[in-house]
Amino acid sequence: MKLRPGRITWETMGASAGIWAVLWLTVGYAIVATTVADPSIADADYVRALVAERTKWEWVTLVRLVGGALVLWFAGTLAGRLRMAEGEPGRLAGAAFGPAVVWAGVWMLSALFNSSAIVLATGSGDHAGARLAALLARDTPLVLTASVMFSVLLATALVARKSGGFPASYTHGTTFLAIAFLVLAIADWYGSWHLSPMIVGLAFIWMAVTSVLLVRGFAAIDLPQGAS
Amino acid sequence: MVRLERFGGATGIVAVAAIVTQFVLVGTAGTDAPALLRARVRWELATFLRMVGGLGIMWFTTGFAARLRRFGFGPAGPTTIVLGAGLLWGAMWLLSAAFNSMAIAEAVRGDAWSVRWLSILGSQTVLVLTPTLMITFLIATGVAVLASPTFPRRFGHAALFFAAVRTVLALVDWYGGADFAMRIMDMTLIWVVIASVHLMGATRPVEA
Repeated sequence: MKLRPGRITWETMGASAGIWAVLWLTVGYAIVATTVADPSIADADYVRALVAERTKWEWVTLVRLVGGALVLWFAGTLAGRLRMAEGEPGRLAGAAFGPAVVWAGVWMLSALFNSSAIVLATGSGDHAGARLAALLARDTPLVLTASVMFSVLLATALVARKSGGFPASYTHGTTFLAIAFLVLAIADWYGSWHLSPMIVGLAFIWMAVTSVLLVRGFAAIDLPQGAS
Repeated sequence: MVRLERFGGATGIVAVAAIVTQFVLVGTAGTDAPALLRARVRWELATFLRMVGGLGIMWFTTGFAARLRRFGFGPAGPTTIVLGAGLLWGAMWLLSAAFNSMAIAEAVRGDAWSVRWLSILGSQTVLVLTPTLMITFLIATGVAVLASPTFPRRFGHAALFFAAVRTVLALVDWYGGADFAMRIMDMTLIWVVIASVHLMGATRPVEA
C-alpha cells in the first residue's frame, strides 16, 4: 500500500524516535552540566555532592533509560528501512542493527551504573564504590560510542551507496563521518585530546538527521499490506 | 521456521522456570561476603540459572520475532524492535550472572568491599533495566500483533495494556517511595509464559 504523505503511522512515529532520543539524552547532559558531583574528585566530596543533588541524578538515570529505549526503537526502524533499500536477506541491514542495539544498551548500562552510584552512596554509604560506579556511568558512553557508531555508520553508508535510495549528500556525509569516527577514536585513545564528548555530539547529530530522513522516507515508500 | 518458533516457546518457559528458581534460591540469602560463602552453592546455582534464563530469553525472542515477522509487518515493522529489546533483556541476565560470579570469586578471596559493590550491581542490573526493556518490548509486540493475524487481537491489546500499567508502576517506583520493581518482574515473567504457550501452538496462525 502507498502511505499518504503526512499521515501519522507507527512507522513515522518509530522513525522519529531518533530525534526524541537525541532530545532526551541531551537533556540528560544538560542536567549533568548543572551538577557539582564529579567522579574525578575525592570519594567523600563526591558522595556529599551526590547526596545533596540526588534528585538531579535520579533524573539522569531516567532520561538515559528512556533515551536508550528510544535509540532501540530508532535502531529497529533504521534496520527495517535499510533492509527495504538493500533487499533480502539484508545482511548489511543486520550489520547496522546489531551495533545500533548495542548503542542502546550502552545508554541503559550508563543508567544502571548511575542508579548503582546513588544506591551505593545513600544506601550502604560506600564512598569509593559510589564514585567508581559514577565513573562507569560517565565514561561508558564516552568510550564506546565511537567504535559502535563507526560500525552502524559504515553499514548504513554501504547500503546507501549500493541502493541509491538515500540523498547523495546523506550518503557522502555518512561515509565521511564513519571514517571520521575511526580517526577521532584513535586520536582520542592515543593522543592527549579529550575528543569523546565531540564524538558523542556528532553521533547525536547523525541520528537526528537520519531520523528526519526516515520520517520523510516512510511518507514516500511502498509498504506491504497490513503495515499501516 | 515453525520449528524455531515452537522451540522459542519452549525456551521461554525454561527461561522463566530458571529465573523464578534463582529468585527462590537467593531470595533470603544475604549479599555480604560471609553470607555469600555460607550459601555459596546456592549463589553458584543462581549464577548458572541466570545464564540459562538469559539465553532462554534470547531464544524465546528469536522465535517470537520470527513468528511476528512471518505474518506481520515484514522488515520495516516493530518486530525488529521486539528482537532488539528481547536480546538486550537476555544480555542483561547474562551481565547479572557475571556480576554474581565475580562477587562469589571476591568473597572467596576475602575482599568484602568488592563483594558488596558487585552484588549491588548484580541486583541493580535486573531491577533497573527490566521495566524499560519490557515496556519497549510490549509496545512493539502490541503494534505488531494488531497488524497481523498470527495471535488473537486481544493478545495485542493485552500487551499494550500491560505496557501502560508497567509504565505507571515504573514511574511510581522511580519517583515515589513504593518498590514495584519485583511486581514488574512478576508480570513480565507471566507474560513470557503466555506468549510461549501461544508460540508452542495454543493458537493456530493463519497460513502465511
